[in-house]
Amino acid sequence: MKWLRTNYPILLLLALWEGVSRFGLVSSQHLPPFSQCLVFLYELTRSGEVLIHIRDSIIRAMGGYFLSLLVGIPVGITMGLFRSVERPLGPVVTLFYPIPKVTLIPLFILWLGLGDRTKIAIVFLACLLPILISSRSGAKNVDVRQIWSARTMGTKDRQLLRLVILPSALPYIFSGMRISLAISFILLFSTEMLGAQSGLGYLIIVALEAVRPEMMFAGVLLIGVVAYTCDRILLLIRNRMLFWHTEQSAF
Amino acid sequence: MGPLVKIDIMDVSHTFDGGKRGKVIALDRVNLKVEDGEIIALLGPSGCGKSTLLYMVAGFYPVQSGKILLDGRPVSKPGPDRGIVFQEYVLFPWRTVEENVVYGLEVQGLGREEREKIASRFLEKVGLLSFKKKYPHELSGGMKQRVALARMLAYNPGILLMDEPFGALDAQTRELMQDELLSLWADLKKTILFVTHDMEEALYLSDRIVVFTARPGRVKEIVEVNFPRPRDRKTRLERDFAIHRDRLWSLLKGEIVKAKRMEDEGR
Amino acid sequence: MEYVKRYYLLVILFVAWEAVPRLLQINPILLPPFSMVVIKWFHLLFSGELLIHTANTLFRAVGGFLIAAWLGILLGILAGRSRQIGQVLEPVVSVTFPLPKVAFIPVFIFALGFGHLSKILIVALECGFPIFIATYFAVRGTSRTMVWSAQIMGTKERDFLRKVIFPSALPMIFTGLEISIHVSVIIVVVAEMIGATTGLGALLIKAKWEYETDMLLAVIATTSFVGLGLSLCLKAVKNRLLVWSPEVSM
Repeated sequence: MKWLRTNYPILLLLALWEGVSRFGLVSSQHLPPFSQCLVFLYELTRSGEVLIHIRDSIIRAMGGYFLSLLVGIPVGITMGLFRSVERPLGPVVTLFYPIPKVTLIPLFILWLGLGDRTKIAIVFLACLLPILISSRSGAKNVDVRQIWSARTMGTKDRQLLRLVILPSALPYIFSGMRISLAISFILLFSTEMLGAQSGLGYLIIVALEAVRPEMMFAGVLLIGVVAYTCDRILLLIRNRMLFWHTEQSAF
Repeated sequence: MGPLVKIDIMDVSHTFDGGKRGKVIALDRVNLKVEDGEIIALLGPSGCGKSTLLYMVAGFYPVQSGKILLDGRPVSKPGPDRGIVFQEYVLFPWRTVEENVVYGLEVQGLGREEREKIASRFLEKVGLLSFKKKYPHELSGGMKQRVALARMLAYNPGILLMDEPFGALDAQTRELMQDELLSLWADLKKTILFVTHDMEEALYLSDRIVVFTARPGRVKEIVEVNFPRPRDRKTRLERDFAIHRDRLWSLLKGEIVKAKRMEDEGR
Repeated sequence: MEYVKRYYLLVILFVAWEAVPRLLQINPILLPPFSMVVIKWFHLLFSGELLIHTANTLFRAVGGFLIAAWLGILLGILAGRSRQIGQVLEPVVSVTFPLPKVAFIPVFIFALGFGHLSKILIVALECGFPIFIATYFAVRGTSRTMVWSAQIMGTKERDFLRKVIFPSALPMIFTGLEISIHVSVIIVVVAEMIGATTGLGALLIKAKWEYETDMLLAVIATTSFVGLGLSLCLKAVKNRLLVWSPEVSM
């Protein structure tokens, strides 16, 4: 299979993991063999327990993420198009940008408790700025000659947004979406590790406290699968919507 | 004793492996003898292999079949007996103008003082001595190309290879650069092999023009260009100039149309 | 006048931050006024507490970043120059890239304890990726005509990396470095929040448990400054090394 030919190093790495652990090069207390983690993962899945955690994590991450798209894209575009909006809001964005949103986690737990609200709020805030900034970039960087051509051909102002500005800004917006997606997971799992009662991050912390490394690794694998899948889905959507765009992305 | 054969191209063919699209024959049995001090233009439609031939003389592409001899010896790797100038200038952006020009000398191990002396001499020849501490991004296209020329000439190669050297410049700068090249050549008397799309440029600069067919590239005809040297604006006004140009156009037109059709079908 | 138009919203926000909690008599655990946070910040500074924890965080973040830079650039060059190495590393990186490395924090803490090492290594892991990817693509994408020009002028094989490939790749490598340094602070703080007794992250957790919101906000501000400071330092280095590039001198 072609997949095998390009991706065999991954299998090699997994084999290495298995070998290093089984032959005691690294103590299996610290690094349980890959197969053991898989077995544990299977049992977790069978009991249905893990599905609840996955569901909760995804709901929180996607909730905050989509909320940030809902707010960030329109506001960003507006800022990019209208100086009157950019002027007051710009410095606010610049002020909040350097604040690492992870530092807000304890604050939000203090304010909003340990429930889903907190997670969604944090993910929302963290994802908001990157998507806003890239949408703003996209709107600002529309080739003015495209707008001129469109106007000459009779495009009215209200059509301009849909027919010219949005398509032109889409590559920027998608790149912001991809960054924000990664950020959503980082923030979500960080929050779950610091204060939650369900979710994959919570699972890993439980495993840490219970000294069960195979459960930790199972959690890591699950997180990997979830993040990888969501990223691939986004890439698929992007490639379909941006079929006309010449830039490629290997990673 | 007659003039030396500087570049001897004998029965050279070249095939590219196009992957999914199969093999592509870029050149088909090309023969050409270039004498020392000659200026030869390679003229033809896109994809006819003229750049490929140039790159083979340079040593970037291997000689698959046939022979290419430089001063009687077969070409192997790229080396400082030749120099190259590309359409996109290709200067080292992290080096100043002066540092670019000394590069070939630096690599040969010359001492700093001597390098800088030689570099200054050639920068002066191209009129850029006062820019020697600037970085390439601060220069215009024409200036960058002049730096590329100075860099190539500084380490004294016997053969100058140019791949559409003035193609990226606007028409006015191009004419200035053509005159500059001619005066450098009159001064240094190097052998020049250059690729161009521009019929007037080929007529103005060269001693002979090798006209290529569309792919697979064969030598359609070698046109002798007898305008007296030194050449200048008056050369372009000669009646023969227009006649020659028309001749070139009639040779090329069919090939250009063929090449365009192949390009469209390839898509 | 231009300044007013730009900053009026910002000023209003800060004034509101000061006035609203006072006027509405909001519990300082919920929202302390701006001045209270500032006072707390100076308090922390002069007691030495802030410096100790900041030093710890910086040590871990910079340490991990430097390891990542070293390894990332080295591996990136190797993978970029050799097709085989590239073909081995590319699928591994491409699959593990979307995985949030924060997931490994408990693993590292489990294996390496609550001290510096676990933090430094997790920073190195997280930062290594952008640096490796940037270097890999930069080296792999070295302009063909530039390589040819260097060859024809007689550049020896062993000098190629130093004289041509590395300088040409440097701008893109710096892009990777800039992303990484931004990320290093984030991940070190998360790691400290999960399992550490020192560092700004640990300080945040302490403030949370003691319901000291003013301290919380002061530490948040400090972390932002640390991040900014590191980015600025990197920018200074970049301006020196890339003095020749159009984006730096313009």
